[in-house]
Amino acid sequence: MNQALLQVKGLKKSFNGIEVLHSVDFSAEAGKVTALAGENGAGKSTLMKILMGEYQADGGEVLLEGKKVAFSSPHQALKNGISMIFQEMSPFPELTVAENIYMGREPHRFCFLKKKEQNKMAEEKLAELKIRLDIHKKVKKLTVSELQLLEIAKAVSYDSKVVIMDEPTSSLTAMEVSLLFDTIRMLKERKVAVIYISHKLEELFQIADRVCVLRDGSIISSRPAEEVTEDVLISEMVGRELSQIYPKTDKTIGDVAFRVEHLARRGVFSDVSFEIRRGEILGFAGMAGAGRTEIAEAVFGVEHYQAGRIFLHGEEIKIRHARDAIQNHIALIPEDRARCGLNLSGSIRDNMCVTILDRIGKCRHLIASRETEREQTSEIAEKMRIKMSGQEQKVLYLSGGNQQKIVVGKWLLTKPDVIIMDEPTRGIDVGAKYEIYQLIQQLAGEGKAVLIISSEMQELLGVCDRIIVLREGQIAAEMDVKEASQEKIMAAIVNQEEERRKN
Amino acid sequence: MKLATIQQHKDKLSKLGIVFVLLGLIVLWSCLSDAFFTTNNLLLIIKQVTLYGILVIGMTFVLVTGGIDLSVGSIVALSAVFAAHYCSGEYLELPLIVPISVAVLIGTACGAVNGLGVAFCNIPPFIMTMCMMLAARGAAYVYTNAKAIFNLNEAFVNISNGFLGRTFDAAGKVDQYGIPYMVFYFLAAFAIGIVLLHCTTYGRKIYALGGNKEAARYSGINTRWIEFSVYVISGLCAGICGFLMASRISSGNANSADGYEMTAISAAVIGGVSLSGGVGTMYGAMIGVLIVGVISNGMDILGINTYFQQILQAVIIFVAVYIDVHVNRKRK
Repeated sequence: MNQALLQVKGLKKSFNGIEVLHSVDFSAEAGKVTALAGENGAGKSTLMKILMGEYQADGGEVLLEGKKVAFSSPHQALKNGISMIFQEMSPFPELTVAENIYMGREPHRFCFLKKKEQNKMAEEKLAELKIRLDIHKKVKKLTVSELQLLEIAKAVSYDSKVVIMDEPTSSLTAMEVSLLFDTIRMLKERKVAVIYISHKLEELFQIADRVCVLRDGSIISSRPAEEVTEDVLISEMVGRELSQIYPKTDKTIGDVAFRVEHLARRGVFSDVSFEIRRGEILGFAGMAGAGRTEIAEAVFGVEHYQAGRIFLHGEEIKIRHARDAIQNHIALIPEDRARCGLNLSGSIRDNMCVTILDRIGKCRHLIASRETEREQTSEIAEKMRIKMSGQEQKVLYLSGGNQQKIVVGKWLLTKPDVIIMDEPTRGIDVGAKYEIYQLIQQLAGEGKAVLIISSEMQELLGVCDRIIVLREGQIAAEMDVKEASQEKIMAAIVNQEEERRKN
Repeated sequence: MKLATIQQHKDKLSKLGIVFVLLGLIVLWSCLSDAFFTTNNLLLIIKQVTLYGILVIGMTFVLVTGGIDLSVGSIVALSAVFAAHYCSGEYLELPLIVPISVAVLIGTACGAVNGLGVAFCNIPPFIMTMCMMLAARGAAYVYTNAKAIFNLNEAFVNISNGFLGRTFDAAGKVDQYGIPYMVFYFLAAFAIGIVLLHCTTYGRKIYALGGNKEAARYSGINTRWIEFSVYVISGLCAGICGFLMASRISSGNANSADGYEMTAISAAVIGGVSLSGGVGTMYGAMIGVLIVGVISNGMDILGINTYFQQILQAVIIFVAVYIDVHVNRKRK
């Protein structure tokens, strides 16, 4: 039998006396891509963090090239040839791209840094991977997708025997994903074992040689990729059949609820006009950096804009602060949960009720009302099917899907008429995704106007009624979902770039 | 459900943990000295901690937002010399409300300047309040010409040094000790602090801001105003502490309350208030104040010299925070 490069036998891990990994067996072969699929909270990240030495296993063993290993820190794992692209990226914001790639192993003579050589090495590495990044740029100035590219370059640059990729494409555009796949193929040729984790199932089919499904801390199946179909995979992951990926409900589209005219902000977006009808789901497509998020934030009042008018139910409204938006029943579910969505050190109830404090307080809304807070929280928690041990539980300890549900829930409490969702399903598992889609349909069915920003074209096509494609801060195309296709959207996104190249 | 109850018990225990430290210290001192566990001495402890106890209330508001206020000690000195000035010399006969309001106004104004700098000019709290620390202390010296102000109005001195229910026998000796007024100030101040931080929507917003400022802004909270307001509260507390200080030491002295900001910060931290914001309670801060009071009172009674006390205090603060950090880490 072909000896696997990396073998995991009977691995166990508990947190707070709760076992999250039950005797997991798993292996990755050299020159193959082993995909690991599973819902959020299934234990994928925990398993990978044990391999990287970030956590220590409570039982079982890890064999690297047949030798038993147990790393006590990521540093040791790196030295022994395992590197990882982390789901939560942790770069050094004040340092440059090159410095980040070679952090901790800078080329040096005695104790003097060889900066020129480092830059040269970084440049070569990026060229080899066909990643376009300015190596002198400070990392804090990179966008989310550029950061992810940096993390990929960094992980690959260790020349490891095993490369673990935990959700490497969550913020990448389609083109960048295909670049990453080229990189993975290159790694395969070099006999590297790649462990690939992603919620995007179609990616698994494109790149994986073998697919393992992890559910509730146990390996459910492990098969060659050719033998696996999407339906089987999904039902194995969630442990139940999902009738459709994108649920649909009957709804009627009413009159215009929300209209934006000639919105502009210098250097970011210009002349953006669109409208959303009651019961309609509008989608914003486009590359990262096309201004989608910025437009949403301007409309919601957390970013400024220089020109343009906003109308709600035909009346012009002024929005200068998120408070104004909330008062006008507009909600924004932000892209970056950890940064702008949640107070991680707070309890579930604190997070839920923060948007409605001024509405539910007693005595002219000055005194906080614990009972109302409790009622509202349990009502939404039930509606959203949030898995929690109690309202006092800290949000920090919840899985990504449940955290996202809390962000959505806290905005539903404001009883919005217009709901903007920026990447509502980023980094959450199939089951939670399905619930979010159901919720979106339900909200539209109730006559609310919904705007969805997403980098996943499949998702936009499945969920929306109408799609607007943005390109460099301008509306490039607008199409009814019946006429839209992935190719059409892609064409609208790329068009201008090609034109520019011709010039 | 099972998980929920485990978590709740753990939370309760960790909150009680700090109470056990306090009780443990009381038992320890009681064993070491007969003079410690007497009603009068326990009341004396509260009297001794009231001054920085009031500072800790304001400090807790600031710390929960993730800020820090280094200027409170200096603001106390500045408002103390002003209060002393307005109830001595040519102003001796003025009604008490005058020195009190002057002190409170000066404290609040200094706090407002801190708040403006931090919330509206984006100056880091450490730097902004350090500037205020220097400026207020300097202003106090300039105002008094570095000379202490003596001979204050007796009614004013009585504010901090008076007792409720103190009686004298025929020979003029103290018959019943009575309860120091300071004890009531202490309890009232903490009651107000607890209500404001834990029972109001304003308090909830402070925690939201301290936990994640961006998320708070996205949730429609006026983060600038909230941040501004906590420094005003801290300044107000320092102003109140200022006139109490002048009254207690019967003089206005520009070098009084030296280092009080550090005592206030350490009391809050011992009580479980996190320097990174969003975590901690007013109850914990109150216990923290009492622990600091009990430690120094006990050491005084045992006759440990002041310099050695400082070293011991450092050790105790370190141990308290060490335990807190590790309990928290385990819960993750």
